[in-house]
Amino acid sequence: MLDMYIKRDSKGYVSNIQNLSLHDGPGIRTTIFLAGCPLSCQWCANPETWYKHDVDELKPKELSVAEVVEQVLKQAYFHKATGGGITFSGGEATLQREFLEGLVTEFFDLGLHMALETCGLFDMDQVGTTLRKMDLIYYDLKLMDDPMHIKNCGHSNERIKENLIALNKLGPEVVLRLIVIEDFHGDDHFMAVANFLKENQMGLKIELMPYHQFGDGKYDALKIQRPSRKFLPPSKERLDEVKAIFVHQGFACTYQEA
Amino acid sequence: MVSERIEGIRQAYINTKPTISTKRAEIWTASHKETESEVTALRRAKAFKKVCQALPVAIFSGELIVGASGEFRRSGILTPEFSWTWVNREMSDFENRKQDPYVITEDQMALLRNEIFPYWEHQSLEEHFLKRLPEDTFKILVDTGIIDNDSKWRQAVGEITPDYQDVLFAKGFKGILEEARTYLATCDPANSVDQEKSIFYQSVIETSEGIIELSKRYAKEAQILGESAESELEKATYLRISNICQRVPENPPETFYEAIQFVWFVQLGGILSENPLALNLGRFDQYMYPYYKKDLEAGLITPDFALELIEALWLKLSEWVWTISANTADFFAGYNQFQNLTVGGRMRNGEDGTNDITLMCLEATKAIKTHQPGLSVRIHPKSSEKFVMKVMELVKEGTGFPAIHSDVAGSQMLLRTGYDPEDARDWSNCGCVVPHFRKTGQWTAAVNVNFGSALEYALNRGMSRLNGEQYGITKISMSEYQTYESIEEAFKEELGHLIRHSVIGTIAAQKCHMEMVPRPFLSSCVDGCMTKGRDLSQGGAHYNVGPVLTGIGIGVVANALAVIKKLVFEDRVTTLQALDDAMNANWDGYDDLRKLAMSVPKYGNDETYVDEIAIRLSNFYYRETAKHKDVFGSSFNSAFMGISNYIPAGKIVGATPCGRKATEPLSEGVSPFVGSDTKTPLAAMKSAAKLNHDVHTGGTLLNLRLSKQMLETPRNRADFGQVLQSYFAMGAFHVQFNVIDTETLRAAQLNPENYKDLLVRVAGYSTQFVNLSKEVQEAIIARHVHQTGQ
Repeated sequence: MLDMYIKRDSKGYVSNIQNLSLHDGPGIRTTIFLAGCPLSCQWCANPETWYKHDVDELKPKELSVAEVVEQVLKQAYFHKATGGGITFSGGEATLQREFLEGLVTEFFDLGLHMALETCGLFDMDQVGTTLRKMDLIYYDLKLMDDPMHIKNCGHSNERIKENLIALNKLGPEVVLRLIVIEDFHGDDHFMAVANFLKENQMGLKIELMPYHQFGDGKYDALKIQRPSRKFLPPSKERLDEVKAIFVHQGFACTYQEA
Repeated sequence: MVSERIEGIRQAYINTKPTISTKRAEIWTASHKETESEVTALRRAKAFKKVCQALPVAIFSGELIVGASGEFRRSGILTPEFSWTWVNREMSDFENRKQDPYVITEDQMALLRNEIFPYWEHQSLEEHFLKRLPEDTFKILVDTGIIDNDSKWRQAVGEITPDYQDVLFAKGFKGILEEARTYLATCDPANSVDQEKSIFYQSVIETSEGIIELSKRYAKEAQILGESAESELEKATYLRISNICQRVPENPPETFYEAIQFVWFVQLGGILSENPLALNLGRFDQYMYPYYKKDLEAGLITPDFALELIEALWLKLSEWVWTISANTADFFAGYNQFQNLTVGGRMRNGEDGTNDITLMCLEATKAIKTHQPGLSVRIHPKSSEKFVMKVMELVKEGTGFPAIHSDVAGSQMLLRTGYDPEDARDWSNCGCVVPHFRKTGQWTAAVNVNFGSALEYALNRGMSRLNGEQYGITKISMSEYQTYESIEEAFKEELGHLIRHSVIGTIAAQKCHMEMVPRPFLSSCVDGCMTKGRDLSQGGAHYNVGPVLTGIGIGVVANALAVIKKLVFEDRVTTLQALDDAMNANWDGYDDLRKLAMSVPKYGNDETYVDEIAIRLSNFYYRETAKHKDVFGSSFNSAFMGISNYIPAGKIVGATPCGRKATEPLSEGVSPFVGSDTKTPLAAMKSAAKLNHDVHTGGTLLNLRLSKQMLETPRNRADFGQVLQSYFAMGAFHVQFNVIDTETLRAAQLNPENYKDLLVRVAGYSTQFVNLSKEVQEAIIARHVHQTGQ
């Protein structure tokens, strides 16, 4: 009788709930990191979300929709007062389809702004309804070259490209996020991205994501090997070069300095 | 879902006509005939006890909570000791009057006319009060609508919140009785103060014995009904009721069921003792929750049964009828008894006190839609989203409930009146929107002060435009003013004059109450009276707070002054003489000038030009009011509240420069003049929040219209929940949403002039309904019908 708002049975694995999150969308936000990812990028900063392990401080918690909602609502006053909200991140949030749907339904009804950070590998038919309720989607495109994508991320990027085209027609604002690794992502990669966007008439905003090594400690804690040192954070000059490529092609492009 | 049992009671309530019961008046009068040489307080206490002993015990089919004020399911009782003349005048018309009719028989009328009323001739509060009043005050105070306090001499004051937390549930009436006996034993009759006190304690002994006896009579009747019951279930129900009435209110309650029956017996005692307005239930969720929690943990109650009991109490609160004159019924239409019940908000320690009972109270009002209790909620930044959502869900029902208040503003008002911080956090509403605390004696609605009249007298040589009578003090005519400022000053002087006579009338009424109508039963329910040995009417309560003067029509007056300032003194497009002529002609033949007047900024649109006048006048009002002191030495308080008083107040005011025509309603509380807030409810909130709510310690009221479809989805409701938080963050105290249905949309099509503020959602945006084409209006109505399933 009293809990009529919340269909609370659905449970899922949450690796972290981060309050006072300032860089994952407008205003003050709470970022919910859901465990599990279909990719296995060599440079990943959140390896703890890949697989089941027993390192206590990094171990995902099994929580119900109701439990997550309750925790997040403690911050709702700040969200609403600053125009902020919730950001779903991961791992890959769409992997826990029902759980995400439960959360999104609740937060939508509560009037909270919602953003999603996604790697783009999901079944659009299954998650489209949920994604439509987002206000903002940050969409990662790691590599344009498919063999390279398979080699470095463990999966083909064909569906990721298709989903980007479909998602752009769905309704929520889409921002394309491109990781930049020094001496790894060359100009040809970024030109290919620009051409792909133009071919499909997608005037997306682009946000460059400078690679960082802040996740190394997690690799140590998990007792697994750190990412190869051939991956390096980009210099400011490199970021400006990449930005210039997109600006020349007529795209709005920004990056956050590390 | 409403249970079958509750629906049965609800149907019986809906299908029963309010009926006059003369029993209480008969017993009361007979008792007074037997006690003529005794002290007033004791006479009233003994009469109360006699009523408890002799009133018919009435248990109606299917009831879960028992106790009635007369032999009928919906009894209205009479209190000739306050006033009988209006009943004598009006009773033959009771059944046929348009607003709030009552059933009354020829036999009852004969009994009243021949046996009861003659005894009270020259003895009633009303007659004494009117004799005591100075002539010049009489002229503007009595039945004029200029300043009005008839609820303080034609009725009991009520305006009490029994203290369940620290007095009633803690002690039970047995405990109160023993306490009174103990105090009495220490009184020394050779000491004059003690002699006074001993009268008080004796009267409390009488009333406590009375209410206990009444409950025992109900216990016995329930037992008899149980023994002859046909089904086992019925039998068990009656015997359970019997056991409960055997224990409470004599003893402190031990279960949720006992506690709720206790509450109703206290309410019933209050009704029988004086037929009060605004006998409030206070913070029901706070004092009931411990019993619910304990029962739930012990497996003695289910949430569903607790909800049923709450709904049964709501029906009891709605069933008894507050008997009032036809004139008063215009002010308080709909058999409204103003039994306020406040839920939500912070606890005494500052933490959020929302609990399961809070949500059940909202659920009960939503499910059975009774007009009582007057459900109020307190919201603060720490309120749970679930609670706020539940509030907005109830708002969507369109019943006007709940009244929504800022928890923080309420506390600020109490702090200003001198309460301790813990007590200031523990407030609940009195009547409609007066922030109040249970250990208090206060006249929370002492006088209604008509701002429209004060303006009229300032602009019309102190005279009414409608009847030409002299009520004000202004000597000059409108065209003689040389500056805008001098007009505002003249208004303030007229307002000060009305305040002064309001104070005179209040003090005279307070004196009469002290001498004639002590309230021993209710005094035993309020902290302070026992330790002081003093009745509520003598200032016995722990806190004595000054009476509240309610200002009516600040919106209209601000609008009117803005028109004069702009059109006459700034733009110079018209003259004072022309405006004066237009108002005397009720705007007939002045269409162009009226159009011009209507185009000047109106209060309620977030326009500084006019809002700053409202701020200035409201600040003046509280300072001027606070200058005066009542019989206990407490400062008077200002307020802008009242549910329907702006309608009769408007009837005596001629045309005003804002474009309003003669006798049209004024503006309500701090609300904009109806239809003149043409922007959005948000702009209206911005204007209202510019006033300093914290100093108007008698409460402020904002009423806004909202179309139902704006609250359709949970997300819509969440957004409006945030609108509430924003309004309260600006310092405002109260808002109530009038949610609009199809019928109102139809009315708006017919009279667009009166519905300019009505906002509807069209397609991804919202706009004024009256500005839409007929086709779109029809489409919206059709969609509305579809969406609400009407």
